[in-house]
Amino acid sequence: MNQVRAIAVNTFKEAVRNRVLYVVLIFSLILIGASGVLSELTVASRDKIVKDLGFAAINFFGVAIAIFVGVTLVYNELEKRTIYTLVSKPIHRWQFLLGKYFGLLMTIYVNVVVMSVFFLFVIHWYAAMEAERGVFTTFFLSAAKALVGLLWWDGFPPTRNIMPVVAATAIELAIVTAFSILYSAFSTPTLSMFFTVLTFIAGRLNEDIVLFAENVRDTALETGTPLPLSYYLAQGAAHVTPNLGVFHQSVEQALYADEVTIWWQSILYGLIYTSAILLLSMLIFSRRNFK
Amino acid sequence: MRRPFALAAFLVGFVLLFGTAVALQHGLLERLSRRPQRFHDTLYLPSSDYVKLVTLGYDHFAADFLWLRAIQVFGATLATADYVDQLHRYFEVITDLDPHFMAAYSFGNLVIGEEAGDHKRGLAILDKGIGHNPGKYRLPFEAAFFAFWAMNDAALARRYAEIARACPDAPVFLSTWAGYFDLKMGRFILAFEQYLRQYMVSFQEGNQQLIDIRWRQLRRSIDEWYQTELRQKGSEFYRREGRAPAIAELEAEGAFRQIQWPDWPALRARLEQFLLAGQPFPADETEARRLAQSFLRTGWEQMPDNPASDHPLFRNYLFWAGQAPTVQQEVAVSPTRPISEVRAVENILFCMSELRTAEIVVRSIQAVQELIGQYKISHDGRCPPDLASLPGQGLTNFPEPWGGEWIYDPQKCEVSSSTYPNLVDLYHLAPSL
Repeated sequence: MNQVRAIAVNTFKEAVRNRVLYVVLIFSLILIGASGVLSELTVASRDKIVKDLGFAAINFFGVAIAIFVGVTLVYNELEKRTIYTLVSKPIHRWQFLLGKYFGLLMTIYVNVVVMSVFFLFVIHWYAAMEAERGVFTTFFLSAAKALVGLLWWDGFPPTRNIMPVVAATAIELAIVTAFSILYSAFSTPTLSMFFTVLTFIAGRLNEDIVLFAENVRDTALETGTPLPLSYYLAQGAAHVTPNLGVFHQSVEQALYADEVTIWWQSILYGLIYTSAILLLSMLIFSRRNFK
Repeated sequence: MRRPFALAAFLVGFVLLFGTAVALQHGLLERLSRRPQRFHDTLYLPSSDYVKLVTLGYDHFAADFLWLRAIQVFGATLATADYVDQLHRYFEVITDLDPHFMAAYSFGNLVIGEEAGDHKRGLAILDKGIGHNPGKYRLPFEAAFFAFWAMNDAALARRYAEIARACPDAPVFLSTWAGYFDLKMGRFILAFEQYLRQYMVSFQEGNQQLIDIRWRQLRRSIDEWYQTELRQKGSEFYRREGRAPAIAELEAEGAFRQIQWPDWPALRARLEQFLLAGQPFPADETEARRLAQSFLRTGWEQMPDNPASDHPLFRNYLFWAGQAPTVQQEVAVSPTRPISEVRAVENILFCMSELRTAEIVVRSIQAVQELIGQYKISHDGRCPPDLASLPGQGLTNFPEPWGGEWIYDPQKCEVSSSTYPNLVDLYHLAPSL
């Protein structure tokens, strides 16, 4: 485990030095901050707009980092030939890949935490502004509440349902990151990016694939014909592609339900699916020819 | 020395070029702001199914974007005929992307149903919201409101009111809405049963304010029932005799014998008996209905007292013949809505409780007296020689409410109604009531 940890920490340090990451982070913070300005344009549901934009920004930029940073991680090592110095040491290839994965995940989660704190701050800021306190009081109060709210999820009414959604997003990001590592284990960055984006789209449309399969089945039943191949293909695809929509349902609950429920089945599914993809990545990477 | 000079030259060049560009841009913007503009919404919206696919799960975010856009389009076009379909599509897609976005349903109905006057599609938006949000009272409540006041369909309004009332989050005031719509549909017995039950149920809540409101509503509902029946009987008389009847005349010809009315004095006595004895009211719906039914009577020789009035001198009703309003003024809020609507002129018989009549006369006289007061201030305390000399638009804003004339005494500076000259004196006899 020490080897994995060492590589993960180094990957994290390397990613932190990447300026693109800061640009993405700043852009996401601006977007979350702008939600307050955008909400001024509405005639109702101001809170909803602020929350929607925050959730979307955290998720979208998290996925963007997972894809854009993830696909170059292994490739850069090969390109710079630094991998040779690593594999000549007593480190297994799977340890290297696992370290890369956890390092990237750590980077993404740190970004998510920063975005979440800012998101919580924005919500508290707008809630406190209605109370018409002074700007400094509002600022410090909102900042303190945002920091506390990061750990104490039920602590403050305006942000009660925020962190469970962020937690669900974190599981989704773990799956997307695993895929970006999987593709980068055997392919070029451009192709890896392409594959990861397609996998993300397929994952988000997973439930639509099921609906498509059901439509095909209904049509076949109505016409009395045997089930076509497309039905089996669609059903197969729906079972194999990651169901990312299941983690996104929490947004709906955060906006309209009293509390967010993340089913243990979805958490378990996310963890097992991620492990399976990582295992596949390690298998592929262990057989890869570096020449 | 060369380098600083070159740098200064570059800077001066930049400032000159950039300054010129900004000045030119200022001119362009000026010209743009002077040019008459017409709003064009160029966003093409395919069906919700496609939009949903394209958003990749960021449905709420996309719904918010379209929501803000829809507000801008509405603000720019006020739902004119060219944009009704586009706005309708916006609300369709928004509510498909986010089926729980309550504000979108409400605003969609406001824009399409009320503003553009497309009642059917406006109500369909609310229907969609009701389907997607079962158990939430707000949308069926708005649909009931819309069906009654915009579509003038009390039966439809009642259906929505029932749906709203059955919702777990329904506020207390909704409990009498179904009764109100029954009343407006002329289903007086049903309305009476509901108002009576709600009054009795309000004691369980222990809220005196609510009890008072329910008591007033019960009395008014019976009052409205009485007035409707009276208007019908009085109109038969009016068509036959060509003049407005007095209550005594209708009583003399036995006009009320066939009418089924609640026996208000008996009901009131029974309710007071319950209260004095400290007995709980029957809150069960069947029992409450049975109690209400037991107070329905026919064969009335005399007109029962007005249940809405406690005034000892105003226990009755008045008739007067007049013309129905010829023009109903409406405020023009958009080019699609008419400024005024002309209606047919018709001679009809009006009926109102004496108390309400007196209140209206008193209020109208107070308004005219106010104008007289203003005249006196500007004319050294002198009374106006006639009512035509009153300031501003004078009596055009305050005509005699019953189609008669104001009788003015320039010596005393006093005004009275030609239709009901004695009502005001009677009203002031017992001002505390």
